[in-house]
Amino acid sequence: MIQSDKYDHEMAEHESGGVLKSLVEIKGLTKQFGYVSAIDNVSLDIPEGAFFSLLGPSGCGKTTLLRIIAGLERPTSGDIVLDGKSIRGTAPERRPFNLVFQTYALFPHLTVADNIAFGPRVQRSGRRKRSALVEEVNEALRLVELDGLGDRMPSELSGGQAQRVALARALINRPRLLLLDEPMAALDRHVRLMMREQLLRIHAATGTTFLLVTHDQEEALSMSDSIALMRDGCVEQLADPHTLYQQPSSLFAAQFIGTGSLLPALFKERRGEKVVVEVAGSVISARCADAVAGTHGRLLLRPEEVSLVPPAQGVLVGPVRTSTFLGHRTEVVVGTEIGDVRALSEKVVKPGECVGVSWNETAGVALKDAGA
Amino acid sequence: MKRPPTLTLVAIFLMGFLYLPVLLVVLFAFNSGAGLTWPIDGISLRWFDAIFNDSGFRGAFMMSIKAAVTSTAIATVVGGLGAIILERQRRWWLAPVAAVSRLPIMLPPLLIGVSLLTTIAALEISLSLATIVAGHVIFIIPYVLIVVGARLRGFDMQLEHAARDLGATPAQTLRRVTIPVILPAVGGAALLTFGLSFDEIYITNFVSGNDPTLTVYVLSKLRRTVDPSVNAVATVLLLIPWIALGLSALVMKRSFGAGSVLVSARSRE
Repeated sequence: MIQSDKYDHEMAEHESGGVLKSLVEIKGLTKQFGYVSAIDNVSLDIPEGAFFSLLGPSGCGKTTLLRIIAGLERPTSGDIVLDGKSIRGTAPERRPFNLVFQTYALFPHLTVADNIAFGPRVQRSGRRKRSALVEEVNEALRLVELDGLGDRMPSELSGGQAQRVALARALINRPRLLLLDEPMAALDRHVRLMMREQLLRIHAATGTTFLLVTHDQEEALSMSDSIALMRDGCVEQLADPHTLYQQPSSLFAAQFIGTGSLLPALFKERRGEKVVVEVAGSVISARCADAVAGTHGRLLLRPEEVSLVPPAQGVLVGPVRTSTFLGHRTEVVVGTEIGDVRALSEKVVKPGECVGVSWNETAGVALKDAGA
Repeated sequence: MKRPPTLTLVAIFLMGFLYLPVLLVVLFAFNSGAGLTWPIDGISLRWFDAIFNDSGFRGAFMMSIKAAVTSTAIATVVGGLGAIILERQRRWWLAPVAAVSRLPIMLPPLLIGVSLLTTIAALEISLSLATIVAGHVIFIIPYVLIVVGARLRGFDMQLEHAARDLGATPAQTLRRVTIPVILPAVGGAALLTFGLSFDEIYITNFVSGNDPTLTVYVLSKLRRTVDPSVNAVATVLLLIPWIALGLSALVMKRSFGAGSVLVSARSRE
């Protein structure tokens, strides 16, 4: 571990290396409000340069965790480490992190340019030249593609513009970690999609580490390198988007991320990473998440893994309930005897038509029932 | 929806009851005769001429202005900072302090006047502008606390969090964010207290010495005879708040770019 600095540094430079130096380490963090734990013993490593997401339903503690990292809330116990030093007791103004608030929190009495210049002004008073600051502000405005709007007041901006001003106001300080609290929740759908691209562009252009808090699984999946899925103050699963989607570790993760069918199943026998599953009389194999042999649970099938076959060849058979044309494919819901199965089909089928559904041996994920 | 006609009639009656006497006073101020009977004899500015040539009136007017400006300045600064402390600090003893500092609103001004006079006499201090200002400050600080306090309760705490997050110390946050954002409310509180101080009579009657304020001067004048020139004085008094409002609107517009006190108060949420 003594030589790990050099090693980590080399790894950090190697972009596709996968193993990156951690910027912030969260160790056993707990936050209690009265008798309620908003955060319960959470430990996370946020890698340098990553686009990291905290994903979860409202009330799962993700925003509280973000505010603790920013220094706006104090943890009840646990520690936050930056560069090997604890910053648990460090005031928010002395942490090299900046936060983009959900409501943007632009100063209403200052112009856009003065809002953006706020950080440099309070931190480095007097010493710097006025012209240098003006240039810095203009650069920040260009970065978020708001050139020429510096003289506007915040009340004269659209939601998307205000959001980008908040982003520029944070980024001008060159934070080690940029914290984003549901930055797109208040935006219209088309603006939101544009902002996603903007954020990814800015992340790539600045190399800053991003920590995004969101309840929108699509947002987290499409933007992040890693996602910590949170539930009731705990990290349910920490994984990259692909793993989180294809290999959810629990029923909660499977239901929260993406769409899919959850069929009742009996887990018979564990074989390494696989488990033998009985579904509606057929005995098949599936990937094991948290399933326990000898119990009943659920089998997760993602729609794109399920194919429609002639009834005779299907594992399950049933009539087509709905058929929704999506452009590139058709989403089909088949009503089988043990529940609806969702599939993506290349060809168009009619509701009422009897079809079979089938999937690859390894496509299903075996999950323990909630509460079991 | 059709409004019942009685409601309209009540409204008209109330408005008339409220504003007709004011209108009468203004009309009589321009009366060329000396009587207070309708109809007025003719239009003239003789009563305005009379009051502005009266050194007693001019002295009292200046005294009122001095007292109102000084006590407003003191009450706004002390009350404004006090409101910030009372709203933002969390100490067990602040709740009783807040209650006690708002109490003067519920005390009869007469009581405040008498008790102040007793104290001043006991301390052997002579009555002057200073004693008037002291009396006014006691009486108007609660209004500043209430107006500025209400604004602070509606204040978006995220703004202060954002300032801290961007590197501002608590002191810088107060100076660069909190105070500028609540300034329109502070301006409104200052206007209100200026008006309250300018009109004040109960306390002032006890704590003013040989140089009375305008209200005390008018009262003492009315005690001797009913002098028509008081109508002119009343008309001047009526104009003061309008002038103050107009001035502050101008100042606010200069320093914030948009809107007057009233407009900012409306749009700030």
